[in-house]
Amino acid sequence: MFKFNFSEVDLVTLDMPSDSSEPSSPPEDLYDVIETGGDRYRDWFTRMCLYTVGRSFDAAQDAANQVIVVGTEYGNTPALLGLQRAAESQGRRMSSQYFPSATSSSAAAFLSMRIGATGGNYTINAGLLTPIMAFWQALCGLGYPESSGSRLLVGDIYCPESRADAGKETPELACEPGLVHTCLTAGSEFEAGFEFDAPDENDEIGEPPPSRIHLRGPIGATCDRYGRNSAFALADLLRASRRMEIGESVSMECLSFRGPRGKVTITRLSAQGANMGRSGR
Amino acid sequence: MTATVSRVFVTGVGIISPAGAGRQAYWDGLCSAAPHFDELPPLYAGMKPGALGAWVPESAREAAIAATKSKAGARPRMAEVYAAYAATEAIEDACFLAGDPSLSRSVVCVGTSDGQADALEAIYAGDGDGSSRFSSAGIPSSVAQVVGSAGPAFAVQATCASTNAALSCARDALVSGMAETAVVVGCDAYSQKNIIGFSSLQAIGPTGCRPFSRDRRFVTPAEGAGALVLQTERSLRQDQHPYAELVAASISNDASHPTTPDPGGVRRCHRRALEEAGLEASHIDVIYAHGTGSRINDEIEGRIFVDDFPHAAVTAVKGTIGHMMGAAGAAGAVAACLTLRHRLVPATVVDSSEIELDLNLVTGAARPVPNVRYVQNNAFGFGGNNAISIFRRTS
Repeated sequence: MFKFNFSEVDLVTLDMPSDSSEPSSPPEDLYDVIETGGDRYRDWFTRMCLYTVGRSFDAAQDAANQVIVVGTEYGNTPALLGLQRAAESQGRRMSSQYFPSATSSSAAAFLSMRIGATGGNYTINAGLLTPIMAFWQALCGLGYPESSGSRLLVGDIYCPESRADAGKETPELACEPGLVHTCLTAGSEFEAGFEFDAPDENDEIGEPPPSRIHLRGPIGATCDRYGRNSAFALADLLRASRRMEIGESVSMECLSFRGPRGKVTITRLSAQGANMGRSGR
Repeated sequence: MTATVSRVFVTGVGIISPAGAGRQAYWDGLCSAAPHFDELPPLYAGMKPGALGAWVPESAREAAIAATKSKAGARPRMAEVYAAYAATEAIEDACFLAGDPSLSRSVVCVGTSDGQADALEAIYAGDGDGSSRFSSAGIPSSVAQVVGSAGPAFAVQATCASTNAALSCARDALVSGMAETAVVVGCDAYSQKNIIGFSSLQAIGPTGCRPFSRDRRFVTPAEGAGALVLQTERSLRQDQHPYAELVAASISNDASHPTTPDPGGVRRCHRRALEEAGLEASHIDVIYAHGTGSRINDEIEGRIFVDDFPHAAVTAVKGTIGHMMGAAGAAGAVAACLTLRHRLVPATVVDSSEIELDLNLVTGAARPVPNVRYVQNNAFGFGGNNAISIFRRTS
């Protein structure tokens, strides 16, 4: 069990045509927030990570010793492809600045640099269980020595190649670009418990249930309208948690086809503002 | 986090590297201290010819594909193949049989920088086979099948610090009670994107990696995978003989520059790892340095060793097998466990007269360390990523 508090929950979306890596209408204040230096080498995943953290209420606070956890299936794929295109079209004239923006964890790295987070970063991909594992890892980060909190970002900004890749596994799930961000801190307002399970081959009768993500209670009925991008479910989970009365719980369950299943249950333990000291690892 | 476990042990290791397939080939290769480097083909117009790389030998590659044939698709994705091979060797080394009930809920944690880069590059080249996926989640999923686990399986990406970051995640999983066993793999296969990137930085060239030498100049990119089986103390069986106890796996970030390491940030990670292990720097007997052979990395790392670890025997395997990228930490972690088992430190492929700093670098021949207790394994990466693991000899 993990006890924690969390800050505002920000969900950013982009209107991205399915055959393009460019949004049709980027946020108007994008470059006021993320600035333009080095922008030509970034992809939209890095831009939106910098944007959502940059515009958050707590971004101006001291981020030293924060751990950054980015949960994403496709993350910086467009930048990886962009590097190859640049090499092909520009040859030896290609700038050396492409490469640092074209690693699988570039967004986390540039985010650490932007806010001065020295706690380290993890970019995590667990397929459909990505939001569960990223949330769990961010909570583990609260217990690291010197940790001042964990900044959690989960989601994908799809390019055509990543949409096609996701579609090979779950053609029935839509791929809507989006990214959720919050900052977890040590505290006693909420408690989170994790359960992992898997279909037992001996017990299976017929086909296993399809891959999906859903939320359960306490507010409203079970919600399972989510697509492939778990940013939307995680945002709803955290916002529902924020609205709960003491003692109420809400769960998010992620099911992968014939694979592991993960579930996180958040319970409100106390009213907003309750805190406790940091705990060592 | 409510900690339920305090001690985590390494009970099995496996590896495939430019020295060949299997931990014996790897250890023999390290102890022979002969470079396994070849020339890279130019990948784009203007890329300088003659740069060196280090690849898994064809015979080892074929052996790995054959050993994991049932898991590979029509076109094997090599990071997945290497990872599955290393994991298979590690679980056998830990005295587990495939399908062992003890592994059925184990955590699978894969550190990788480039993931399934070859599959993405095939799509870019218009040469995709139509069914293969490039998501890095495919690697832990494949390893989980090999292991026989239906537990949580995930990839951790932190450039060349990825495997030590994965060790940190897996240790968290065991300490928090998520599982009793974890299989940690570090893997990366040949990636055109990587070669292009290093070439654009003029970081690769016609002379091989010469860690800590005065005339060092280039990184030598490599490929492969290493795996470790981690277990809680209460899950150990009588027939298992742990290589080591994993006493620390710490991460930090420089938050400074995308490619140039920051001395303060690298020192911070050393301090965190020692604090997590409850040790002083003087307790560390052997260090597997990150030692890329680049001017800046070796200078920063070397000065820390001279200042804070003057008695530790330092070695750098990248002069022998190259830089396995996201798997570099796995190469170091497996070697650390083998050092604790054999009480021997392989030599770095430089002459003692070449060493730039007053460094206790093992050169010439492998050095016996009969009283070794603690071995440290450094892995750092672009983006300011730092990660250090520390292993303790078991009684």
